[in-house]
Amino acid sequence: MKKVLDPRVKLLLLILAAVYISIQMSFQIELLLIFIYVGPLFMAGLYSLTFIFLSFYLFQLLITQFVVPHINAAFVIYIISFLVFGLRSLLPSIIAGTYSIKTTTVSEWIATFKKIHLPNWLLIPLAVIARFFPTIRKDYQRIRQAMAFRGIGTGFWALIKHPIQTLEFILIPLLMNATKVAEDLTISSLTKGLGLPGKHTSIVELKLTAYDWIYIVFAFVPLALHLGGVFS
Amino acid sequence: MKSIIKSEHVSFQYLHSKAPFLKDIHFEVKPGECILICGASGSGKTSFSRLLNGISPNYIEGELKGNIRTADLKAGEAKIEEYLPIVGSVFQNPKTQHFAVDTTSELAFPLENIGEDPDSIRKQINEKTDAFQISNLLDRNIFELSGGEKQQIAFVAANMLNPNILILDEVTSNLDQKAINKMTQMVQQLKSKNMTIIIFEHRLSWAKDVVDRYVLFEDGKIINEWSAFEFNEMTNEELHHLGLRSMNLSSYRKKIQEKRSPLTDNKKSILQTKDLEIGYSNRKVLSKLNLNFHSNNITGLMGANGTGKSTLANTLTGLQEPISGEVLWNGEKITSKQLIKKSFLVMQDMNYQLFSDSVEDEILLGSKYPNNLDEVVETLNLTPYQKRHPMSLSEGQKQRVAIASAILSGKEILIFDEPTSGLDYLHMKRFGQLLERLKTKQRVIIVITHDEELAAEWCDSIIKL
Repeated sequence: MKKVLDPRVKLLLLILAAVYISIQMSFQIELLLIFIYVGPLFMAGLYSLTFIFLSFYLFQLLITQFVVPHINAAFVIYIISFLVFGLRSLLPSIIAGTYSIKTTTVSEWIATFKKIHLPNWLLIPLAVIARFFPTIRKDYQRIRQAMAFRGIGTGFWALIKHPIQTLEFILIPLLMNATKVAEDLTISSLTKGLGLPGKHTSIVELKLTAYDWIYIVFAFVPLALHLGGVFS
Repeated sequence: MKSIIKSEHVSFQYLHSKAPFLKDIHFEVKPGECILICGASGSGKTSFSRLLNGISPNYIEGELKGNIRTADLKAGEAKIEEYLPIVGSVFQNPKTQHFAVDTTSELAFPLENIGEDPDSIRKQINEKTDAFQISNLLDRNIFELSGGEKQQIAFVAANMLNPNILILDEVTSNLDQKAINKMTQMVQQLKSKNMTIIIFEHRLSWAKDVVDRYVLFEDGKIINEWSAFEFNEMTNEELHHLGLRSMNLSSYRKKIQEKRSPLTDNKKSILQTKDLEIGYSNRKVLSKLNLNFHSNNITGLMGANGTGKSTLANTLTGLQEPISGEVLWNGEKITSKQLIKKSFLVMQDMNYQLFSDSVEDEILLGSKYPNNLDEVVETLNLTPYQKRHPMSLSEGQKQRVAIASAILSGKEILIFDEPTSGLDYLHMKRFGQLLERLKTKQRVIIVITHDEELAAEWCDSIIKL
């Protein structure tokens, strides 16, 4: 059965991921951390994503172990260290972010924000941002189609060969539309009363299950091990 | 009887603009009336509608002069939230007017925001979806609904709090006939319950049985008013003269029937499909398509939402591989890769299709015949705009920029996706004339459309899927 964490636990994972970036932890703890973070992806049935993240991590480990010691050129080191060290510490955040976006609907986010009593001035922009992702995904598909007709490359190689140009062609229409979309979405939320003062309810039921409680504990385990000096 | 909407000497000037957009508007509505406000694009209809539901000057800012009152709320003084229980609004663009991403949450959203109990919310959702007969749309992903279904959800969502006034701002512009009929039926249902309904439209025929009074906007002013009886006496020509679409569509429907080509004809044509089967690996959309598209001809592609018009367009332009069968160009098989080089799809939303920071660069991007620039720019009336930023142009101008770039890159298949939805009579006619100028012996032009006036008047042949 597919199981998805409560959005509040997702928020906890996101926040803790930011904490873990700033910690210089041992390899054993890092390995445990990565497994704890991909666990929810697996439980939610997102098997290919689980596989991608684990192989990416493995790839980073192998490069660190076998390639990095043999490189002398400073420029190459610079690029590689970004890929294997920079991205490596960001990996938990990327995993938690992907998981949150993939498995949470806008209504669930709003219900969560209301449940943790977020003030309106923060809630409305956050809700609009949460609503933005699915819209942008659709926009991106359209832009890629439009680029294909203009003979502008859209694939991986185009990005490698002309990185700035390709990004520009995607970003310009995306951003130009983003302002319009943001305006429409804000109007839509306001005319439906998102900004009303007073008590709001939700038909989305948020309840912490055993799975959620287990994960709340799990999320702190690497931190506890690190602070306790285990594996160090 | 006290009026429910009253506007006296109302002028409105948008922030950062130099002249007032709405000028001295006098307007009054009695409870239970249904008013249709018509007028060309840019005549001020949408701006006026925003003064009635509190969006302006609260959110879209500007300077308001005069008094405008909706129920007991005075524009400029009342907050946008105060309008919520009184005015329900449905907008033109179905893409971004929903806030939730699934239908049930969307309907629950206004009730959640006023703090209703979850059980009562569920009960009210069931009552409302039963009453409007859209229970089949519950618990669906909004992104997967058709344009018509999205508008039905928006319509019911606007009615969740039982408002007294309903504002419909060009709600039918993207809809097919079946969805429009459903909209008519829903509006009739509310009219019979004495709701006050204000419809902003330039398509007139769908609402003619419910409207009591017609008001014409031009250049930010009200220039005429008719009772339903007087208005129904007008001929299509008289309406066109006012920039409005036809009231009586029967002559157009007859013409479309006459122009319909049999799905299979044996005439030799430049673009053909042979036993084409299209769709996705898990879902066949259409099969056994043997279609002919002739050059020097404008082919209209019609059919209800969901019949596969877009899938066919994607296959003909090479965006999507056919499941089986072939596409032939001049009698020879052509692959999707080659098709994508030969074709250009002019999307409904132009903003995704423009990439450069001047009109000239945009047109020359990837062009094969840069020497023809001046000629093409001239034909499409773009000469004065060559140095402008494409995003600063009107939608019609953007469309012409995209067409210009397609022509300069030597595209031989031009497909337009709903090019005239939301256009008033004059702009629709201009677009028809533009199509006429694009016709050549080397070019296939296909127009996907629900617009019966465009199809009847400007397409040479029609394929109905």
